[in-house]
Amino acid sequence: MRRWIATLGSVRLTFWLVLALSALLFIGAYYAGGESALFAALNETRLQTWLLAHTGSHFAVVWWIFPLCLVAVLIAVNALCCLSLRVESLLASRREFTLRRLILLLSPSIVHLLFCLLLLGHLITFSTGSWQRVKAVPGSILPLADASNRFAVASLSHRYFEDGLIEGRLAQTTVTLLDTLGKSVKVSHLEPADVGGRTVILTMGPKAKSKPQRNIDFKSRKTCDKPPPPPAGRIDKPPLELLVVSDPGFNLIITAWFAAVVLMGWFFLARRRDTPMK
Amino acid sequence: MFSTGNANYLYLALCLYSAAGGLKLFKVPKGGFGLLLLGLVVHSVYLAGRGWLAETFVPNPIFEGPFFIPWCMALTAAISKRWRGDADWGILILSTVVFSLLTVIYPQGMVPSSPKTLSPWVLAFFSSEGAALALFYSGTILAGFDLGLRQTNRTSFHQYLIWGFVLYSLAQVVGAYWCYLGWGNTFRWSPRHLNSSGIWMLWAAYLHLKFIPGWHASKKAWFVMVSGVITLAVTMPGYLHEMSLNRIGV
Repeated sequence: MRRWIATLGSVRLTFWLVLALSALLFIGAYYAGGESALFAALNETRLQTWLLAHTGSHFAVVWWIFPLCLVAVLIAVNALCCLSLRVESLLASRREFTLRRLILLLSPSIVHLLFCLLLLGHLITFSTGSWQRVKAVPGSILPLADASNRFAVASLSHRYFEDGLIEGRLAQTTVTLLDTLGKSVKVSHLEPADVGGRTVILTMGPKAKSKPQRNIDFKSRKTCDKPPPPPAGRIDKPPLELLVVSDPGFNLIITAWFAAVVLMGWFFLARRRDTPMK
Repeated sequence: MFSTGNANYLYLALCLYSAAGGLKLFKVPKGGFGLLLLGLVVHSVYLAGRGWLAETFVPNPIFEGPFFIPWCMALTAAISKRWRGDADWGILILSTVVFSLLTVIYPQGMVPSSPKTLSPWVLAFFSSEGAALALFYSGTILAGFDLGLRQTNRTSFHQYLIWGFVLYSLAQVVGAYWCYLGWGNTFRWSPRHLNSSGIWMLWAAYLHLKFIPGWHASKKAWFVMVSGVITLAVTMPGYLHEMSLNRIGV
């Protein structure tokens, strides 16, 4: 058993697995660039659902996802085996080290454990996440789990830059949501809101086919029965949509990733201090 | 800002970097270091001016890769000389000059920001990514010199790659958070994200070479050079594509 763990946890295996994952990611980037609409759908679909739907018809462009997942699993197994051996060895000889030294020596293992948690977070997101879109127009109702308290889009407001060369360009859009009790929640670009246990994100709809920009002379048209026109020079954007997201892996991904980065930075700094410069 | 839209500050910085490299080559290191620092100051002034390209302060253009990465490389050279006492800073100045050449033909204006790019997370992402790439390229060039000219058993490039990796990891987590805020995913199945993850994995593989017997210094240097070329080949098309985008403040 110990021999198996040592083999599965070998650093040489780590190197080749990580290199293989890198290659598969570059290969995937190539295919994703060629079939952007197909892979864009994967961003808002569970991985298994998307693979079931597209493997048969698009195997030539999706094949790389299967070895990618396999290699990711093998890397996690490799990392866990390696760190278990190392931690066991360090703890067995812990009396030889000061506490600080022991923590320094253990921190790479903790980083690898955090990386495994990161992979787990991605697996949770890809397999259990949900993404639903509604148009961000007044009256649209958000698809939330709690049917007894509905949130609907009440209004939109836009803020534009007021000076400089970007005068008239969109600076921010805020969507106001109202529930059945009259409670309001605001959602803006890069400022999502937590509504009914879901994250509501303001985003753009699919890009419309490009149309020539028309310079409409609004002053010469009757507008009493039309919404106010945008000020002259303002550029219309693709339609706005609200993305209702349930991502169970999000907190794990961000927390594990950030902790790993901080610990890595500390480890390399502390190791430099302990090792005199040549 | 007096340097807004004035590329002469950038060109002056490039001249100062070149002169610094020349003085280092002709064994006048103190003069060379002085010119390097002056070049950094002038380059910083140019970058600050980019924040006012729209005639109102928008910081995003300050961290645009083709202009920010050479600044990071020059800063790396200065830190290398001042705090590490490395003899390599002359090579790093050379790499700064080489990477700065793109800025001579690169459009000077700014791509107008959208609401999804006006956030401190965006600035944190592009600044850490740019600094990381600068360290990867610096390490790659040092590896090349170690191989080609010195024929020694040194791995002087190693520290640059370690810190490049830490900063690139920071860029990954900050970028993931930005992506979630704007698009609802920490990772998107797009060429940008897939390539970015591939680069991270490549340099993660390098970090493990230290623990594998048989990977002596020159073999590691070859790996670093190939990885650096792949990194450049994967990131450069994005910058070249952005040359064709509509810009303001030109």
